[in-house]
Amino acid sequence: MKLSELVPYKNNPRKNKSAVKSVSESIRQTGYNNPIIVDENKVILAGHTRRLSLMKRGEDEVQVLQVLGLSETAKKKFRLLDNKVGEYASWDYVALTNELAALDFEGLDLDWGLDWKGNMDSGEEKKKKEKPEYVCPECGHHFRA
Amino acid sequence: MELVRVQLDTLRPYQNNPRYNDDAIDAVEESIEQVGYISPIIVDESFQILAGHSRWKSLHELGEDEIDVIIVDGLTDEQKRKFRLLDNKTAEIASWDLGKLQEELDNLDFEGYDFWSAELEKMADKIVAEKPKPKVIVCPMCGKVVSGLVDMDKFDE
Repeated sequence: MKLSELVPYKNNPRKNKSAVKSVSESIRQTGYNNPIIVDENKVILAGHTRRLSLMKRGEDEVQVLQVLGLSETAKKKFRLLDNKVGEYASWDYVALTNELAALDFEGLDLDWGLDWKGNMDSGEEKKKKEKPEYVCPECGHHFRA
Repeated sequence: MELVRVQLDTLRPYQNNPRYNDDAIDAVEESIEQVGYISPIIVDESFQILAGHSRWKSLHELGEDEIDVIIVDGLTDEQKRKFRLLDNKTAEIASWDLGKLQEELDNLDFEGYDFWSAELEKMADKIVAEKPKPKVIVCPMCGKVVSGLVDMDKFDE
């Protein structure tokens, strides 16, 4: 299907602009393996970020999976649940460390969450800095609140 | 990339799948029951799973026998390993637009399954946060209750 024929859903409830760069890079490095899913009217059910990423890459025609015969309610629910159920799984950090070994992501900068101590330290410092500092007019004490 | 129908038993999980997905099976099963199995599992030419370990387990639980899968042919081993990671990782970057989500959830019935409590809570918090609340500050040294203090960080700027 022509990429330009695909119709984004008018009320896509995902903020995905920040993901486009990484998804484009993933497609460049590993290929476009997970097809965008559309309904009988070519309205996207899953894959708004992939559409933007493929456009950014200058693609013209792509393979999509067209699903026929879903009710409007099923379409709405699928759009939400396809994103939602992915949130229930989490990383197995031991297996992830093994998998990441010897893989070169060619400069694609992703936070794999493995630098835990560093993250905790910088998180605490950030919190401290976020609170504004005041000076008490009574005793002159400097404090954050 | 090709859509084919296979026996569920033909699929093989990846031995070092870096996803902990036991907590997801119940939700994935519920989703498949409510809307159907729409997004196919992706496998390589030897039917080893590239994406869809949770769906694979869920379909087993649901007693499915034959299913549609997408076969991706010709990736290098390195590309397969990268794809397994990136397919999950890149999905973490986008986030919910709570305003639009609220509109979408309107009139949808998830048959009692609690998919959205975290988001609904955030929507409620957002409404509370929008109301300005007066800030009362107590000096931790002398205990004086004061207001309209100079924010030293802003002063520095």
